[in-house]
Amino acid sequence: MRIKNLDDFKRLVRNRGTVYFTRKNEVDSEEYTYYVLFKDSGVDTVIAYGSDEPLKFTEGFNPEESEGINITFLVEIEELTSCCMGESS
Amino acid sequence: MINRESTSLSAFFLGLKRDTRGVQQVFIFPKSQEKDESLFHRNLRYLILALSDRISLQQIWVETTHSSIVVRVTRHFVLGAVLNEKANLALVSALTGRIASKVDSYFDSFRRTDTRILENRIQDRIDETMASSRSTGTSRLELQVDGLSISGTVVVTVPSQEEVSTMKERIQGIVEEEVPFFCENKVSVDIKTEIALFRIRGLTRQTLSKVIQRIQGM
Repeated sequence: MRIKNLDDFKRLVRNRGTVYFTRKNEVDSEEYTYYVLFKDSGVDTVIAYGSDEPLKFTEGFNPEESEGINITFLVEIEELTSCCMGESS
Repeated sequence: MINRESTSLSAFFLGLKRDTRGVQQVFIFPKSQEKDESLFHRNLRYLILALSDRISLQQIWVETTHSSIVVRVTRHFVLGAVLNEKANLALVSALTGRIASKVDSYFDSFRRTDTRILENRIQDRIDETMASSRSTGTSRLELQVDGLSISGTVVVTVPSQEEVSTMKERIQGIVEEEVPFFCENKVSVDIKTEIALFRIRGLTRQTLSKVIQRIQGM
């Protein structure tokens, strides 16, 4: 899912118990991905949001310093679903 | 016991893969197994392990920037589907939920079951298939179970070349449904035709000897 700015992002994750993750794409420095973990209708949900701009968080929140899982797994799952998983079981 | 219900569950899983709109891939792998797994499986398992530290995990929904993944976590397995934008999430969630609710008991039954019972079930269904298609052929099979991997060969002999492809498709379908879907299926299906045998029967002993010598010299 692609977002344009921080306000869009905040609307999407509003009122949810949320943990944020961020990753700067090392190959293309203009690509950013933010991961959100929340519970929705009893289902634990992880969503990746892509952004062309680095979202500048205010209110004292810095995603990069937040407690969280290792995002490497999520990043690699993304890459695999975009290529390998489409071709083999 | 491996029963009709478990066969139905395997068919259900295969149906999720083949017939459900928007499902790109389905996956199932043991929660604890670490060797011989793909990168996707390993990363997903690590993610679930990491998430389990903070939440009681039974189902997660992963939406990446490329596609979506429904993941169900059971006592023994991680299973789910990779979806594209055409998929109906509620439907896939319900289908995977049904499989997840029964897979552990199916697995426990499978571990207690003798391989011969599985062979007999496949043999019975092959016999039914051949009888219904009025084929007069023969069949034999032998399976080996190694953990979550089933290997072996099914050899079926049919009277004519015309029956080979249809029979192979049917037998493969039976094997796919009967081998538990959480197992790696390494069973090969070999369909032979009796035509060559009939021809050899028509040969004289001298000619047959020449044929054998020619084959041995090849």
